[in-house]
Amino acid sequence: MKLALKDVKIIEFGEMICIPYCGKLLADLGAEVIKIEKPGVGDAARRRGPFLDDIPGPERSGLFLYLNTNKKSVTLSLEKPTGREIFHKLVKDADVLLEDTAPGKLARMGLAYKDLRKINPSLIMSSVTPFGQTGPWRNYKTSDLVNWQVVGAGYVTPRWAGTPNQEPLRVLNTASYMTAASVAAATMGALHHQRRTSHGQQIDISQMEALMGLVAEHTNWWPYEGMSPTRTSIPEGAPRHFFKVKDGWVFVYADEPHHWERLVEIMGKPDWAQIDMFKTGKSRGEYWESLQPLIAEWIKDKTKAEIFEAGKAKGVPLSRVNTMEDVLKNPQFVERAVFVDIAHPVAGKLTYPGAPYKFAESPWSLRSPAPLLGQHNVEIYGDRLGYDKKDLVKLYEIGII
Amino acid sequence: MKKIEKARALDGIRVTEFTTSWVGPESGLILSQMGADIVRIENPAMPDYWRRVSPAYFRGEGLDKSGYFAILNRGKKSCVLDLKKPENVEIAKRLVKISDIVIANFAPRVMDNLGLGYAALKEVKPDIIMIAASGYGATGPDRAGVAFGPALEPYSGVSILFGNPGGPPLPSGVTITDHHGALSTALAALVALHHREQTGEGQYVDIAEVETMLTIMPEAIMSYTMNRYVPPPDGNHDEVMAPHRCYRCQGDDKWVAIAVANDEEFRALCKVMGQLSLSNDERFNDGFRRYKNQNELDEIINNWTLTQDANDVMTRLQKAGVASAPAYSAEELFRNPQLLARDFFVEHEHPLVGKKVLPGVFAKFSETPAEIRGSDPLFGEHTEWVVTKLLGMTRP
Repeated sequence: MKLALKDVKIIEFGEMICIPYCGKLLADLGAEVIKIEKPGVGDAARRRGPFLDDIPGPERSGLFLYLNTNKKSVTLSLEKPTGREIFHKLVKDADVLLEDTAPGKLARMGLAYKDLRKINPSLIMSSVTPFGQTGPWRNYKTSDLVNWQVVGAGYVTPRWAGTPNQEPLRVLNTASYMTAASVAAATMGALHHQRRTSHGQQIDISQMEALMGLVAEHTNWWPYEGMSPTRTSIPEGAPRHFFKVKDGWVFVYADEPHHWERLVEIMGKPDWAQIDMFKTGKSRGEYWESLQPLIAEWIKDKTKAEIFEAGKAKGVPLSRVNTMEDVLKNPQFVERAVFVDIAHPVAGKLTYPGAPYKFAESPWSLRSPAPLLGQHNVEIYGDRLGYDKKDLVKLYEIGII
Repeated sequence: MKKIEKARALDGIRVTEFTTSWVGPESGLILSQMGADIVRIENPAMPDYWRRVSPAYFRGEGLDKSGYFAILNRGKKSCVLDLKKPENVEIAKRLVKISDIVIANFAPRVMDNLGLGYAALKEVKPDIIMIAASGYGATGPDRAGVAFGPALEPYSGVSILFGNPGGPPLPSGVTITDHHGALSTALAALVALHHREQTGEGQYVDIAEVETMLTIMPEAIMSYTMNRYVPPPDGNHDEVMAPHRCYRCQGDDKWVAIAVANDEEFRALCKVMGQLSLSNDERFNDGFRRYKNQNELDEIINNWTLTQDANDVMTRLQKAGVASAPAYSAEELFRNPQLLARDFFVEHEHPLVGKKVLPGVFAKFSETPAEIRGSDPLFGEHTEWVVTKLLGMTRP
């Protein structure tokens, strides 16, 4: 199999979602990713659910299993000089170091970029922090909730909330995943330069700055219109709303003139659709209270599939609200093999989300499941770095690996 | 060889965009920031979606004063070609011939119908990289579905996973499917470029926005595939952290997010609130108890924040080691001290709208600084330049 990144060596030093997901994106395309975990406990994601059969365990976390496919796990503590010496050896041969430590933390251990480039001038060090390596907030903490709010995504979520009493919400942990994709893109850009010039560099990625693209639809309003959209803004057009149907929910998005005309046809051209106050997307938004019950009455006995198929046939963005069961059974996803099974020595064979893209020549692939904690210590420290078995036992007993 | 201090990571890489709306243009913007030269082909009969839905357009001020368009297309060149005419398809092919990457985000069959599908482009440029992003992908029974960002969220399954407990599905307020689709598109282009540099081989990449969403909600998917259930939406509450919500502050629609990860942070929060005794309260004195009793705790915190300024709460909590930030509006972002201290914003001079300050680059590179390369192009501003100067052709 052709692997696009088979010549790329990555050291991953990060926990939970952001850095591990970035490592996964590159590992799944063929990069060798050596994941450094804390001796004894490992990545914090090993302690996060969902767990297989709701029985916790470091090799049973669905989150960890998903985020760490195709990687090698070594355990290493940087607290002791020998640990830092091993870190040097790992970094010496690497193209990329992905890391998420707080600004200054690695520097205090003599592992700042300026130190590491002395042993590897080609090294790309992609450093992710909540707010960046510099500035008055550099030591501030974040979380997915805080990320989502601090970039203004929460101020407008949920959209068209109707009341300012609606708390600004976040959407799952998507901020961490999206930041990870930005880190991967930045790293690939730097790698392109490295392969041309053999120059490495440090990339300073502030999660806040990386996420500003998520809110560009709203931020442009301030410089251009001198105002800030909120989640209580009324829809600029309607319908753009969820409706209850016989077997769940659908989303009706038909504010544009040609979409509305086609929706009216789908609804069988009811007389009320000709009323003046429903003529334009804007007026339908203004008179939404009157229009909503009319559509709701027509749609309530339909099924999700009927509405979605009607939209597809007529070219209107009518969507079905898929449950997880729907998503897993969805013929579109099944035909495109979007979900992939892989067996893990402890968790067994499970179904995982697959790739965000389909490469024709150098396909994405799951070649190995997430590693057991420290599974590759012997291979990396012994076979590659030349420590003998007795040294490895000693390093383990002392708590360095 | 260019001088190193001025090098950009993607110097010399040329991208042609056959795009509209969000996904393609934002992916091009990311590549442009790293140094790629971008020409956008625009359709005279149907100019870019965001050119047409701007407040300025609705005021009758034309296609060139859209903030939406500006923010996604800064530093690119605009070439207007009616691709229904064969002579213009020929111009497009000549442009592809000198390009490294083609980004398309029309419905899957559109490029084929124009005679600009991957097979046709490969004939012109054997190692061309073509990234085709669409709502549902190029194959499968739903490939023809009309793709609009907000309608892709419910299809991907995300709409029933977040929101208020017991409430209906909700739309996110942001272009989540489009933004993540754009990141996936840019990443795919860079990976394909790496593959080409190693092997000399171009390729076609098919991206479905709905599938890019599935890869960023694995908690729910793995929960379902492992245990056949998915936890219901629970607002901003976290699986482990508590308290973990947005709390209402002084002023009109002001909120502050607070996320407490452990006992030490909780003690710090109680101290800042001036209610240190709460940290010993038996309802809240460990993570399990806080999790179980968080609705009570939320009310106590909310009663405190109601009398506080959101920025002030954040500063005091962060100095005490607790993750916190206000729910910022667009206006507040432009005054944000951290973004300002890092010179995040960039100013552009646009011939029709004048000086505008807009958000800057997505990452800071020490050796190949990313850069927003000028303001957004006027509709068709570079058509003449592309055809006559870049391609050395005469206009038909």
